[in-house]
Amino acid sequence: MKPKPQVTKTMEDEVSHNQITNFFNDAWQILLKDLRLELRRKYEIYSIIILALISNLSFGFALGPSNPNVTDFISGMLWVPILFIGMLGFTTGFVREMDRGSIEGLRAAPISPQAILAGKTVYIFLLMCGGAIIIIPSSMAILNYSFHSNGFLVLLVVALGILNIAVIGSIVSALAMYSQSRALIIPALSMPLLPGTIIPSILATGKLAVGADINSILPELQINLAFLLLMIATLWITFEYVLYD
Amino acid sequence: MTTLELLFTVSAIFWVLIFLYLTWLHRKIMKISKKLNKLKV
Amino acid sequence: MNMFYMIKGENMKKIYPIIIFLVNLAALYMIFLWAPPERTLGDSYRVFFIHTPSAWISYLAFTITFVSSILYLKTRNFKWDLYASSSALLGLLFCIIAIITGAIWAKVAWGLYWNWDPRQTTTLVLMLAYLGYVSFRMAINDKEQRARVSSVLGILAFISIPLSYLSTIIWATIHPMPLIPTSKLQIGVEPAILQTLLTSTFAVTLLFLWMLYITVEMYRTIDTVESVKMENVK
Repeated sequence: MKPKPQVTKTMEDEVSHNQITNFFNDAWQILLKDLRLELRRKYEIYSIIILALISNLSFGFALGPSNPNVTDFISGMLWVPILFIGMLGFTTGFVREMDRGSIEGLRAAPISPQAILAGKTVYIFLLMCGGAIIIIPSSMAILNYSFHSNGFLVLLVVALGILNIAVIGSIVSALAMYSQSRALIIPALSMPLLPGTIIPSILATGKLAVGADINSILPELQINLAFLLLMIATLWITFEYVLYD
Repeated sequence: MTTLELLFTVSAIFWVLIFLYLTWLHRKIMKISKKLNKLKV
Repeated sequence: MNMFYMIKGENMKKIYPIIIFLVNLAALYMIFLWAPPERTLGDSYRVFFIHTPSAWISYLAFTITFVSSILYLKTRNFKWDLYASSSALLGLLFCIIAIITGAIWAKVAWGLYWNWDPRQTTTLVLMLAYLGYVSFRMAINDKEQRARVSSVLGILAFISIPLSYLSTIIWATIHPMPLIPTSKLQIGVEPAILQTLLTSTFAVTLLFLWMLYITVEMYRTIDTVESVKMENVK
């Protein structure tokens, strides 16, 4: 086999480089647009804070002031409100675009569908991270517990779990915009996709709460990583069918 | 629950659910064929 | 699936149910009379001849939904959408059967309806996936949109099911249930039991294919009626 001429190779490289920068630029623009919209609607942010505090308070009342078994419930206490915040955030992805009629603009824009999806995913990810930043410290303070393992591991597990939920959220939101009852169908739609990632996240958080190291949560991390890669690969191929006719 | 009861319950669940599905299907087919006949006329 | 198209004609449509009925009758005979009692479980193991084929069908049906979804996106032929939706509906039915029969057997054998066995939990996740898929389809009015969007959901859901299975395996290793005896996997050693299992699986698969065929035909007829109506309105 002959090696390709040098000139063509660099040209190819340049083209692919441009495509990559374009992709990130487009995704960044979509993200900025959504974040600006969200900042204009401050009441949604307040409702997220209130949801986080209410869930912490109800768990506090259920378990009692200084329950010695509190570490057994940490993973549920964290992931249930995070998941619900995610469900609130899913509607803001594509469903809102459909309700406002701005989806046609997105479709007509010279942006690759994958970049749109990436922008939306990062937006939902940031929204949920905001929720987690409120939920985790406040529940640690209200319920009097701390993680008995490396804080970076906790961050890693939570961030990866949230990223997976955000990927699911963006595609679920894109699918839900075609249905009649836009926001109400979202839980039913998430049902097929969520268990594969929420179970490992809950398990890993539960292990970290009682002081696990990286080796004992490796299987969960692997599953979550595999989930992320599989979802991204599948969405890369199929998402244009969702957005366009 | 004795073994006989267990076997009877499990097979009954299987066949009754299949039967219910087929009845549902039959009812739907009857409905649609009525509509089809109307359209043909 | 194409077996039904190999022999055409109205007569054959009437013969298939009879063949399936006879095969199932033979399978029933083998299940309850021909197969010998198992050494450790006695006669109660015969539940597996009904439970295992149902579970197998529920996974097969989801695979058919997955493949048909891919084929629909590739060819845009509505035939594949009909296969995907009908197969999902039947998969839901067999999934419910598998879960209920499994739970009853678990209650008798282990004293608990639900013992968080990885397969049991995965089948539950599968049932929820089917429910989500079917209810999502009902929520979309436009035929073309419904076919296109639910195809993507079918593909994504199929991909995430094995990961749920892996997660439940990890879960089961963290929380071992002392109640479960490990003898469960030793069933099927005797050739007669294996033959019965194969026969009953074959019979139920035939039944499933026939049901799939008539469900597809029904939805196809509904579609034609709808389109004729639309033309009349125009």
